[in-house]
Amino acid sequence: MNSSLVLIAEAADSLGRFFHRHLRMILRSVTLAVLALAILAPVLRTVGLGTTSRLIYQLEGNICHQEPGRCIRIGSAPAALCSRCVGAYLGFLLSSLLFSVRFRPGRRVRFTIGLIALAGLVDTIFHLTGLYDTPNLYRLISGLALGAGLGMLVFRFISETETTVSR
Amino acid sequence: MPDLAKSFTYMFEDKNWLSKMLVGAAFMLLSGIIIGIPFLAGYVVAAIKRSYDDEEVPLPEGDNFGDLFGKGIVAFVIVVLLYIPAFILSFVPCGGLLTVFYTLLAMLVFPILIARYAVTNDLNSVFEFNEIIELLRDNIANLAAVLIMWIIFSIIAVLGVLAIGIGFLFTSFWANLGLAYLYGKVYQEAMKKKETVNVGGDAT
Repeated sequence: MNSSLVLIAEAADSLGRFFHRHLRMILRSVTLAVLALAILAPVLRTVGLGTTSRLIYQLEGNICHQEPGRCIRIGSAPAALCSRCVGAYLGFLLSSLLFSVRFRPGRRVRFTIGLIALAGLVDTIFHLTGLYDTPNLYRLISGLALGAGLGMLVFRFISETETTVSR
Repeated sequence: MPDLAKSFTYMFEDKNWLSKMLVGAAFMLLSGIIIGIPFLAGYVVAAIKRSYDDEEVPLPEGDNFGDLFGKGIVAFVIVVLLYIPAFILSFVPCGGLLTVFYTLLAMLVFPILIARYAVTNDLNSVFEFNEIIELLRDNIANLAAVLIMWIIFSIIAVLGVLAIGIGFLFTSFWANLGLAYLYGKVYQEAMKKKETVNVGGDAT
């Protein structure tokens, strides 16, 4: 009994350390998977693999409203994420490549991304309050800015924890 | 890293563990009608403080109900404040990405916040954001391990239902105590690490 408890505790410890060491890679992989599935769903529907496609739509429906008019069309079907979400995940993914221990963008780059993210946030709020409606391309860019801004915060923080470990 | 395995068994080192577990189970039972929640939370806060202080008797007596209730209400306030943004974000269309990140961050930082309150007995200490971010950054591996332990404890606590339902009262209280131990030890280690860095910095 006692040895199994020790084993469970050791596993938790190892998992915690793995999570810490590979946090950047984990976030990158999850984001990439979400994006890939969003594109794969309409492709599968177009080629006639309806069941698999439906499963992906259901899965991604948990994180996005999937209104067909607000999604980019791929083939004959809409993507499984709306254009703002595609932009947000893409921006987040790009941020993960931009902010690392080896490469730290200067203040100007950070300020610019922050400003664009703020513009994206304002656009999202205006859109949600119904003040105006934007075409899909605008939503994609606005989402891209938001994702990049969020990524900047997250990956800067991760970079700092990586620096702490390497100290 | 604190002794994770000890969090499963440390409570049984207390001579009066059985009577204390019975009191805890009663708090759990009363939590069903809300009234027990502050007492339970207060007891957990007191257990965190004992873990941080390396007390010889690991479990609090739990007879000062007024004190437990007060501490529990503050702990409840901390939880509510921490999760309000996640609650708001969950109503934002396409806020999934933000909600997931915020919730993960909140779950990682929660042990620091609650242990900080338990040790200082001051709610203001929870709002010292710079220091909290620093503690989170320097101890993220330990906090991630504690988060995984939280998942393990939750699973075991639910398994208590198998013991004619009532077992859940004991297993969930036991899980709360196990987590209290971990929160106290992680915070203790974080503070020791911080002191070491400060001393090292002063020496240079």
